[in-house]
Amino acid sequence: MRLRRVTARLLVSAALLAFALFAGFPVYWMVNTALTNDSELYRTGQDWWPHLERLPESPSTLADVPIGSWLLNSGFIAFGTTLLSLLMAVLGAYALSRYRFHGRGAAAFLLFATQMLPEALLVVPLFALFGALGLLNGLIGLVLANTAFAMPVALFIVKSAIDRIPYEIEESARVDGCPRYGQLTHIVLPLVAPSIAAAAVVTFFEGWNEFLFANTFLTDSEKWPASVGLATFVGQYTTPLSSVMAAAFLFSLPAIVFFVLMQRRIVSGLTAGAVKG
Amino acid sequence: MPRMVFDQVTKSFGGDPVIADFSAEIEDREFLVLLGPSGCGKSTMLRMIAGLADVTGGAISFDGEVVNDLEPKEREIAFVFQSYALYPHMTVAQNIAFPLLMNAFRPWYHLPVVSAVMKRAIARRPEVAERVAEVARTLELTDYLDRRPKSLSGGQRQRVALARSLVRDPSLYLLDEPLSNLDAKLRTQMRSEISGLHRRVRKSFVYVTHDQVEAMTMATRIIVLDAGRIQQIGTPEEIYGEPANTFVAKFIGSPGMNLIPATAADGRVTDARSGQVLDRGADLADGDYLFGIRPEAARLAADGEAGPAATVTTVEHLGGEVVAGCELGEPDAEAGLTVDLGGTVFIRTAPHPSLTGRGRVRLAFDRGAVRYFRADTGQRVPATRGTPQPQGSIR
Repeated sequence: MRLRRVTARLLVSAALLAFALFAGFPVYWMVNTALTNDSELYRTGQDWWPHLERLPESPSTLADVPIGSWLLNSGFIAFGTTLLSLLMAVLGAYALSRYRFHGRGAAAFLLFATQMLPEALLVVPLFALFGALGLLNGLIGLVLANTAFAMPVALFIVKSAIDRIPYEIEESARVDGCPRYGQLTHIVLPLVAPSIAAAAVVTFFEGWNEFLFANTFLTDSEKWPASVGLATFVGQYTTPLSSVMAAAFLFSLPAIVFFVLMQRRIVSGLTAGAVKG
Repeated sequence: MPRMVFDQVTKSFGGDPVIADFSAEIEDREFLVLLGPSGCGKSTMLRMIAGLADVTGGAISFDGEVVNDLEPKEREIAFVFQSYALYPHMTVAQNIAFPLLMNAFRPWYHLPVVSAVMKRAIARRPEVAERVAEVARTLELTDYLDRRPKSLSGGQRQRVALARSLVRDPSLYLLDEPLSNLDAKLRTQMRSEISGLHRRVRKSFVYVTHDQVEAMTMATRIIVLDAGRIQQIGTPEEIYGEPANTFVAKFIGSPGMNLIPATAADGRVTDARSGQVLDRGADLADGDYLFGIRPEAARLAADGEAGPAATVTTVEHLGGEVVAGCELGEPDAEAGLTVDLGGTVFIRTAPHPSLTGRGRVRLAFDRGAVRYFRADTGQRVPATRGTPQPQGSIR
């Protein structure tokens, strides 16, 4: 009986391990390719094991491109989108969740409507608009464009969390002398922190993965985000795969770090014990 | 320490009146219970007193000052919610200290980083820390100060909610069915704790409940509500002994007052259905009434004693006593009585061998405890056979 249980557990573990290897293999292959030179790639074939001894020399393959400033640009767009989206999403979500006003349903619908339009459809109107406002060829314009798409998603994530907080907790704070904005900062925000972290992940990646608007609006290569810079590696005749993979690895790293930091906060059950239930 | 006056207070939700024409005067340091069935508007009334709900019409005043437009904070009240409404992300100590923190907070303290710094700074102030410790000691929460609400039992959470209301030393305590989520034993214990709290702090309490036991045991004054209207205001004794109408008579007591349709003619009151004589010498105008008698004022007639015949239909043993349901009349034509059974009369009495299913009994009523109500309006007929005038006012 015990043997059967151990065998079953071993089988399940083996299956999970196989699945994890399958899912993680592309990342491994990216690192491996980044440490392979072009002659090996195109002539002799790529080794299964990465040439870690080449690690110190690998940045030289990226020496010709301003990868550092591209990453900084990507970071600016991602963090700008995240902060602006969250600020507006939290206030909007609180208003939609807690206030009764005319046009509440229409406002919620319009926010959702932004998700119905593909980004490609808005490139030309936004180009004209940003041109008129002097926002072309600048990162601020990209933050605004991405916020327009990311904020409604963040808003509905946060709103559904606020909807679950019992009214009485805020009323209790009101009786205790807490003003309305204090109720938001002292009571509501700590309770919806996991959802805000989830929304932060969504908005961060919206900004970090920005490509279409950046590719259209930015003419100055110094202002490109890493995504656009990466795409320029693809040449008409050759594509330096190891450089692409090295840059892709660097491009992935901050995103992975951000996600790991945030996912610790995405825990639920904080409202347990507030009210009988 | 306010003297509360309610002057024709009304509340409507989208045109539907929830509270209609609520007028009452409540003295300082009263333990007022708003009692009524679910949906009668008692919680709405409490929320209006707290300032959590707007008053549609009329005025609520504390010590002569109309408070209709005052924020809850400006009314010097504490509110204990049915659901406790503790702050789940704060420890017990932080929960209790929160009203004190808010009291010391200036508007700019609420800014994100400033608020975190100021919260710690204020919580460390000796007067705050000592007050929290003192209140925690009073409610036996000292051992739980570092816990969060989710790791507390229902009774402990309830005590934290009470502590949070106590810490600010408000002049008015508002409690919205605070015991309804507790089990029966804990409820009895918390009931006496809240009564003790009232005696100790010597402040006004307004307590909402649908539980008449809570109302009768804790209140110094009760307002009985039904469908948003005041049915009666009075002390527990008045509400129980001199119910203003049939609603109060039926609602208070378990089981409620027996109300038997009766006809009065020449001072003789007879059961309208079985025709048996229920009362003689009543000072009543001829007409239709409801003959009201509390279960404990009805008993089995002694041998040879006259009284209406009845058939036992239900018997509930409550340990030392029995609640028996008896249908007036007897299902036997040969006995010379009508077979048309009257309404069920519940009697609360000591166990007796004849109190078994389908047992035939004769009932006797304590004449002094009989109350008459008009059959058409349900209002009590003020005095019959020299019974004392009612103390409770009818509004």
